[in-house]
Amino acid sequence: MIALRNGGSARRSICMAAIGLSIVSTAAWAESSRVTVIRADRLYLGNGKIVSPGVLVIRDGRIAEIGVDTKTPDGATIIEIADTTVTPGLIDANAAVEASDLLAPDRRMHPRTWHDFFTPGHHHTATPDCCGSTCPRSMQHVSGTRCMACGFPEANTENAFAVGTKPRVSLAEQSSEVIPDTLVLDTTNLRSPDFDRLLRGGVTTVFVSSDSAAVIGARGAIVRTGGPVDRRVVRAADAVKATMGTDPSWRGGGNRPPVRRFVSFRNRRPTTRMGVTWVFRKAFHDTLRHRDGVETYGADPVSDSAIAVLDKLLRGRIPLRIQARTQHDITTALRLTAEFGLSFTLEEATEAYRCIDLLEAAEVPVVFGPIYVRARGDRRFSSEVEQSRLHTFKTLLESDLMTALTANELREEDGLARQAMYAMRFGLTRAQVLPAVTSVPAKIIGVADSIGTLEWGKRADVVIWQGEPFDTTSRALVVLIEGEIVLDRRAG
Amino acid sequence: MFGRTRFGGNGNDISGLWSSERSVERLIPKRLIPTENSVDCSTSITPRRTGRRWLVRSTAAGAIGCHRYGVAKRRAVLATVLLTCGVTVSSAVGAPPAKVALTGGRIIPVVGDEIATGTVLIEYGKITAVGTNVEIPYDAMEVDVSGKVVFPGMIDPHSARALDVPNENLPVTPFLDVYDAIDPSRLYLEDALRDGITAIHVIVANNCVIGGLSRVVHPIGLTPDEMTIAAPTALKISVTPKRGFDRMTQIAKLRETFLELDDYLDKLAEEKYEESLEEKDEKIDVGPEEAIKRGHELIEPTDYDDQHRNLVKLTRGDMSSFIYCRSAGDVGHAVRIAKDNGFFDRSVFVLGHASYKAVGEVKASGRPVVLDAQLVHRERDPLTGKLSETFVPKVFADAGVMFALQPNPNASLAERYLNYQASRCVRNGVSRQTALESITINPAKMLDLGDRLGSIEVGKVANVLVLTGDPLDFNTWVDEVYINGIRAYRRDDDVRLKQLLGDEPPEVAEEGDEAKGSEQEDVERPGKNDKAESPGKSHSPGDAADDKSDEKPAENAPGGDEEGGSVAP
Amino acid sequence: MMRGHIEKLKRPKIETSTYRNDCAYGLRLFDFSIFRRLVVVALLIGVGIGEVAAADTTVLVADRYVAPDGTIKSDILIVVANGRISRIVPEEPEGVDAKPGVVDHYPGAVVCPGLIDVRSAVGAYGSNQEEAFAIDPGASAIELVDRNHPVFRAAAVAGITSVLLMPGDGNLISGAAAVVKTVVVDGKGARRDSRTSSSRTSRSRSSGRRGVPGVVRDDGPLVFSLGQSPLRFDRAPTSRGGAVAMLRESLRKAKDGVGHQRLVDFVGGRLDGLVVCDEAMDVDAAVNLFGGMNLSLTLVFTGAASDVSAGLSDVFRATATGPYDYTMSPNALSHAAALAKSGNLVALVARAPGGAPDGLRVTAALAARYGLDASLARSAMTFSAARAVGVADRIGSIEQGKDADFVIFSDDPLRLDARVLAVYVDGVRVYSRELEETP
Repeated sequence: MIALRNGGSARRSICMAAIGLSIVSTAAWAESSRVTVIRADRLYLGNGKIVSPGVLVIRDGRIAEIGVDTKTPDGATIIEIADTTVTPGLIDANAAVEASDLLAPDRRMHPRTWHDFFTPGHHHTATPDCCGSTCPRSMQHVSGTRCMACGFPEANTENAFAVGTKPRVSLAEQSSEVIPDTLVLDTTNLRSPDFDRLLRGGVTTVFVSSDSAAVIGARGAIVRTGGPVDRRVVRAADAVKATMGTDPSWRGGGNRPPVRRFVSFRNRRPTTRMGVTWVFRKAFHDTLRHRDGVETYGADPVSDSAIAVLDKLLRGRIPLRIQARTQHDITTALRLTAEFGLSFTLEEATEAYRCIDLLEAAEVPVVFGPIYVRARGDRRFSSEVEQSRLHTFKTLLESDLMTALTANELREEDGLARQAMYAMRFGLTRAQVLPAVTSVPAKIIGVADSIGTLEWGKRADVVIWQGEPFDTTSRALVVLIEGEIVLDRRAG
Repeated sequence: MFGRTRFGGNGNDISGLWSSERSVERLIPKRLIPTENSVDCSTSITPRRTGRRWLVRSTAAGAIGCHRYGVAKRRAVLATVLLTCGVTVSSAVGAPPAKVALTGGRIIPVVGDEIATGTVLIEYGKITAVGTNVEIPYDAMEVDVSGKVVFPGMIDPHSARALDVPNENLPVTPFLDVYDAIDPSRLYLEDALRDGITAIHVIVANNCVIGGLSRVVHPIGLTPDEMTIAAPTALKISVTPKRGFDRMTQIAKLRETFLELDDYLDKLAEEKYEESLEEKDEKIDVGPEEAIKRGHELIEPTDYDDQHRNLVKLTRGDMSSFIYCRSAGDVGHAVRIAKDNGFFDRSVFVLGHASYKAVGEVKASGRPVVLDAQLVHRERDPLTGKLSETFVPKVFADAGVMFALQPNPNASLAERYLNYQASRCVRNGVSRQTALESITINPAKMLDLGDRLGSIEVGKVANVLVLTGDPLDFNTWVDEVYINGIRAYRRDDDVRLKQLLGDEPPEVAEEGDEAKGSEQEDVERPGKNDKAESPGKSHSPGDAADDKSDEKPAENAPGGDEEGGSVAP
Repeated sequence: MMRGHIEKLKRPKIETSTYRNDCAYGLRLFDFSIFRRLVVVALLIGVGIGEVAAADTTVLVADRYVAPDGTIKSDILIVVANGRISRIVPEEPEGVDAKPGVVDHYPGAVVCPGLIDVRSAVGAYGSNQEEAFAIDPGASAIELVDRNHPVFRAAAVAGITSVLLMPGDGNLISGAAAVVKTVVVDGKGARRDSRTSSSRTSRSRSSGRRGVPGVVRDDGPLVFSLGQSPLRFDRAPTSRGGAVAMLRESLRKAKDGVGHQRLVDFVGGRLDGLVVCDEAMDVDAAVNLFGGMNLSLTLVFTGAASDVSAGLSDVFRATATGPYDYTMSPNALSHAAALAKSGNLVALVARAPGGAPDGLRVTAALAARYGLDASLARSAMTFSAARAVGVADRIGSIEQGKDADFVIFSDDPLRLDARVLAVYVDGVRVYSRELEETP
């Protein structure tokens, strides 16, 4: 394997095997197929190899050839930009996608949850010139008059610009703590501009994970970030996400003990970590008893449809992901899964640096991120993030664990690429970081056979970066999904 | 080679004393006072080496506030220590600093051409030579910075984060001075130093009509006095409505303030004239208009009251102003009000990101601008529904307007670095030179300090950074910071940073046994000391030091009991 | 040619004339003023003239009319008997053999089928939002109707003769909507009898209480809601994901015959449905949910966005959009056109009388202005709307056998300066501009 490097003759190396294969196989392709040829100074294949300078031939949405000086077929679309690098499309294995267009009129004009109601900054923060509002009557907005269409001035247009923070309304169903029968896809707005932002950051495929408000949450979805809306869903119902720690207690409205409160389903577990563990354990116990024909019983019964999913989970037919941040929660997750013989992927893993040995022993894949020192968004209110370290990702990557990097809800200008940039600042090389945002997440979410690296026959999800990827001054110029250009910033 | 013996002995190389204890960290940079003979000011009061650190800690407690850290029974000791220290400090201020030569580095002077390999000579706090062939005096400390980049200290052109509260509730408060609110213990200052910001323009925030006097400080020093580079710098004015005001009220309030100033001056003049007549035992012999006219000449600078003193300076052009305009429509008002009242020529516009639409007016006014920390303006077209994103600095760069960038403390990790903000500009098509100027010389010029700060030129104050690489590369770290020619920060000694980066265990190796025991005890009791010790949330270099995260751990801090125990010999 | 025939029918100097049945053609010198006074009195007491007229036959004559396809055609003579259209004579009047009791002639005017608003909150008793359970198919909107509510009259005067009354959209399944007329023409015997004894045969869909005046349909369609509106803080569902899961579960159970009969009927194709979506992503969810189960229903999408149109016709038999007004973005206003272009049956919604009384016509005019074919725009207020809510066999077009609900406009109803000259419900003129303005 040849390490990625910025300069030197090593990068002129060639991925021989792939090319050899491709030359033989491409003869079989029909002449009428759609061909795109990308010429770049560097091809980072995502598996540790580089071709420099390189040519990438895409035929019918698949990678057909990778070479140094491949002949250009007739009628091919040629993309050739000076000083560019080609990488596989980045994969975010734990993306939180905004449920709806935050620039749209605020759907929280009628607060429907207490969480909405008490969220700071919700009331009267709009400015009289609420430019940027998509309210159909925005031109009629007058200070002091309530807009009938969008609720102005209550609608929080100021916050609408806070791109990259998690929506403050919980996306997880809150009528129960065990909701593996719901789908994240149903709460995901495939038309959300957040997908465009992901695309601008070079991310072509995301695993959208469930909100952390439920102990056993919804099933995530694997979604492409570009292309026609009806073709974006790769897998509608994928891994179930469970959450350890304090999030299930307070996110999405907040559970509370039934003292002097009106009767509500929120008077329920969990309000502590004990409660979380209890709910988790009971759900799987109920499932096991259900197999013996014993109906679910006791407090917080698990619905039949949930049990059907949990049963598959126990049989290993559905993957499990667990969000745990603190060392304590990570060990709890390890303990609970060991009880039921489950294997899982760890999400967040803020304090993983403290229990690398345990994780290594359990061979848990980790989707780490985002890298932060002071958390933003909803994490800010969590007590679980105080011990975050900038070196955690480096520690994970240098361990035996399969580690992917995610930007989660952070978009900013370049999202996941910026996370990779952080990783490099905090002690890693580009060659180390690139797989953590391409091939490794592909393996973790189970799509490595079709994407994640630039190899013959794989889907042509490709990013063309200006200069080197993850440089401060570079950005994704062109993004292709299945060989089709979905983002083109060549014009500027 | 940059050894303790050369540079201040065991005490003066302050960055060697980083620790996880917040009070110490805050204190140490402030103890860095330029001294002629490189003798640490506190060595004279250090009775024992092992006890020294605790002495320092207690001093910090005293400086920051006894209600937080101090313990009553230690007050007397602290007071003595403070007094001694203070005396030494004041005697040290103004004393010529040492000579330092930074050799072998790539010099990016911002003003002037880059020097691939050169030397920067610092003598007595000033840069005295820059170039390839610099003769290094025999008594200068030579620091080899080969492979590194020497860059002028960056300047934060507009920040309220060194204040405990960013704004007064009253709308018109020209009598306020940030001097009274600067909190030298704020974590922000430490972060600023670590991020390479050597000058901060501390100014009240935007929620005002007329704010108060600002000042330029460097991020080290025990008191605002020690920190101050220049003061008063400017008066803060906001054209954008203060919270609770609408635009009409805001503008009316501004207009009213200046009209009232005229009335006040007339009245004062009349009184002065009458007084002068009374002194002479004469009776008023002229009409009121003439009396006012004559009275104006009699007014002494000391006659103005607090409410009006600074406004008079402003309107007479003796003081510059920073005028906040959040939206494009505010710019026109700002220009008009400034011109009407005579302070236009020394005004700087502080713009919100939406104000880029008024770039034409800004350009026509010829005044420099401080841009919003949020560099991208997002807007949805109400008709087509299309979302557009405008990179604001590019607009101003294209128009040729002089601008300065602010760090964005509310954004995630990267944007709080000024040099990262500049590199974003380059990514979005602004020239490299313009981007570099916008974080160094441009803010210096806006603060009327262009002749002292903002570049590496002979004669300028030696606020110099040693970077590991190009300032616009995100993988670059600030290795060393020199303020007034004295090294104020060294990354190798930044223990907290090392903790975050995993280079060093959380416990700090202590020289003294007593101290060591105490430290470990703290670490082992997370319940008690967790927050105060935690570098994660509240002590990080990424911390924006907002009020909450800054204040909360302090309340939990255990106070000086155990610490004080170490002070006793 | 027709003009000549009409000349024979009408009184020479009174353009809008009314005849009693027992007035032979020859007795044209009958003093009409008495009758007109009667009409005025009848209108003033708010009963409608049906009672007074109690006529068997009315003849309506106009220069132009809105055909079922939405186009405006010229010259029509409509014979109304027993509240329904018994005969239409578009071309040759010679064949008119019935002896008309009343002949109304509107020269230059356009006869339009009574307008239908397919998402209305007209005249409900109190709240229309049952909140206890999110799956509530048993509720019936017909129970909400407050016949004395003044807004019915307001809607009628604006030309809206029928509305779809919906239970509130705060539940996943809110119950059965109802199509009611905005004016009840209670014939006190004659008309009701005639209605029940009518020769109408094929009434597959509009199977409501046929005997109850003013009710076109009381058994549906079954109303579903997706999106933010059915979500509540303290009852399931609280999230979109939970909502879809709940709906999917109850539909699945209904397929097995478990659940409320209406839901079982809906899944079995015996009852039509209607789903209300406020955002584009909810339409996607509805497509996935209902399309995945091969269920067809009507979509009411108020969050107009022109990119939400393709592929909807596979799942939704009709799509209703609106209300529009002048302050909305072109992107939103061109939604109806985009829907029509991608093959959807487009109906329009005014949520009458939430906005201006003419909200439905404003919506249609704006839709036409932003690209919707004019005939489709007219149809979207009438025939398409009736098809969308399953009452096209009774109302929505001027065809033989249908209810005689007309609006007489002074011009094309898409022209906003066109005035409502008269409104007929069940063959009875319930509003006349001329009479109301000169009381």
